[in-house]
Amino acid sequence: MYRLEVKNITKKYGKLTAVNNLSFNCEEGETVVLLGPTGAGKTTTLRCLSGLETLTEGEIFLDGNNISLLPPNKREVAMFFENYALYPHFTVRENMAYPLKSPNMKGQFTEKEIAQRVEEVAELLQIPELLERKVDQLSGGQKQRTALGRTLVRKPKVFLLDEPIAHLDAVLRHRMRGEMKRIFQELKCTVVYVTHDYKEALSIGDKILVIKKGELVQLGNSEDIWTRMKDIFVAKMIGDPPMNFLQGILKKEGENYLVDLPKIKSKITFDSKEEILNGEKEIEVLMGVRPTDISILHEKKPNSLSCQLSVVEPISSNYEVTLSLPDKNTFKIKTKKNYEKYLDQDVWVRIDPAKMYLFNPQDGEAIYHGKGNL
Amino acid sequence: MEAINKLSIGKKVIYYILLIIVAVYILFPFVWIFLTSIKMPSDITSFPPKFIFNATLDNYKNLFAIAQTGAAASTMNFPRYYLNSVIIAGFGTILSLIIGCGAGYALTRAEFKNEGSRENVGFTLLSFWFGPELAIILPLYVIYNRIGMIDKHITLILAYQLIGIPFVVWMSRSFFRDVPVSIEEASRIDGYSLIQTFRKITFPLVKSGLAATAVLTFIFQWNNFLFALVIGGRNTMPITTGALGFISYEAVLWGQMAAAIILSSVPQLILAMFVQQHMVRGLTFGAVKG
Repeated sequence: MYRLEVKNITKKYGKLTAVNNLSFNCEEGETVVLLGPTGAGKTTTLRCLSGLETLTEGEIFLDGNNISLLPPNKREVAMFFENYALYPHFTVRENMAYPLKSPNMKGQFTEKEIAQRVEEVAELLQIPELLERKVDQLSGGQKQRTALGRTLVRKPKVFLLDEPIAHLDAVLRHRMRGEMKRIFQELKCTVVYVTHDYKEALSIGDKILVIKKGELVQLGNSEDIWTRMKDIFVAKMIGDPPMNFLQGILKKEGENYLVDLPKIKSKITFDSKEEILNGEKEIEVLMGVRPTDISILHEKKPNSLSCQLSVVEPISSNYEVTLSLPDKNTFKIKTKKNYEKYLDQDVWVRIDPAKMYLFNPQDGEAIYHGKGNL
Repeated sequence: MEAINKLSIGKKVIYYILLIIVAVYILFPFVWIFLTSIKMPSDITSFPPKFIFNATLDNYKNLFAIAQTGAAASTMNFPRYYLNSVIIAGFGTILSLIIGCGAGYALTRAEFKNEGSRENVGFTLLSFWFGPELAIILPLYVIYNRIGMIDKHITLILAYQLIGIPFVVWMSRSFFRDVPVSIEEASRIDGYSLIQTFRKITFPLVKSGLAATAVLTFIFQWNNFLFALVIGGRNTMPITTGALGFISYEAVLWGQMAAAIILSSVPQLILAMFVQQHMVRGLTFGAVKG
């Protein structure tokens, strides 16, 4: 059990800055998830932690010791590679035993103990029958579990996992997500986990770092990320289908606030004790609403928008409904009910002010969270 | 062979005829030389060529006879030439492999400030093969002569690196390129140093390719004639130039020359057979995505 401290790390490749001044801590037994789109610098961060990349600036402390300059084989970290990086000339067993036979481990385990440990981990990952196979005889999922086995077989100070379940098929991915969480809890290990999938991040992470172009956007737990997102980037990143956005103008109307949506001739009113306008009389805003937080009505009510129901897609037990607004923009809602019979008809949708978010259209910063600001 | 068995009889016949033509084309010189090497001098020059004759091993015996008679043979020392060839091509190959592999590995893995220079360095090395050997050999002779290095084994071994290293670099580079960097990185994280990683992971994956490369390098160096002719001397003369001694003013010792050629192809044959499997795998290693 070890504590990982990352202090202001920067990694530059020539003129390109892949990671810019990133700091975070990973407490003992905690799982920190790095979440971001492709090219955000997640993998580079992980490679810096493992020692495969040298830092341009900053320091990394593990258990209080500065490990920034140690080579990868001296850092006592285990890493899972996105492309598995299995040793092709070895069997599954040899692959998994390889870290235990390393010079660092010399004398710590007997052959018998190594075999035993490998079998334990294989059991955990449900691949004991594959142990004697060569790597090229494995399917994608089996390779992934072998690679995970090789990562889990020793007890390193920190686990670094790069998209460990991204390339699995949907069924397996779903199962492994739960498995991973269980394994982390069981082993009580310190984990840095990289993913681009918000569901994985929310489900696995004790702490989530949303990263964009090498910089930290938001750090928080899953609830923070889901309901108190820092800006529009985080909002767009989380949720499937993604959040809907409408352009509007925020003003004060008596005691209440009002979002005027002139393009679609609608108004949303809500009350808030917070001062959102910052003294301005009115400001432009982007209103964000999640597809799950919108309900369809058959008559006009307060805080509702008029629109036309244009597409209904049945997706598993839900329906994704696409609505066309008067200004030709569309937005999506996710519902349990089948609205197919209302196709091409005019309906109203109600937006729950307690579940809407307002963003500054210039810098994308969130200025209002339905459930309260940070 | 299974594919052949499935063919119809007509196609099979054509297939075998073609195979025989290829085999005859390739094997005929070998057979001819071999037959010459076991003929008496009178049979060798007879016309039309004799295919039925009294075989003799005299030619082989004469090669190893220390006190030889006849003007041409008096200066010949075949065992010595043979040993020279083994020393020069053998050590030459080892040196080429050590330096060439290192360079090949560095060329695939090292970081270059400008990515283009990676290809440029590789191509520059390969271009040693494009120029005529004659263009190199004269300056080389002048330099060696001036520093008194003519007629030494080391001189020839070094000169052969001009053929060996570029070839090994070029070949090994393609093998190393096929080893994903990430598995080396995985090994580093698994607790192995750079050298241990090379030994445990990289080398086993490229060794069949390198074996094939080694054999080819050896054959190139064994067969080299020009370097040996110009910068070799009495003490370092390998078989290729040594065999010239069979041709003299008085006579041409065809039989002994043929015997010498047969013997000099033995190491190549043995090596080729030894690594045949590796060679086929090695030469196609780059073609198949692992």
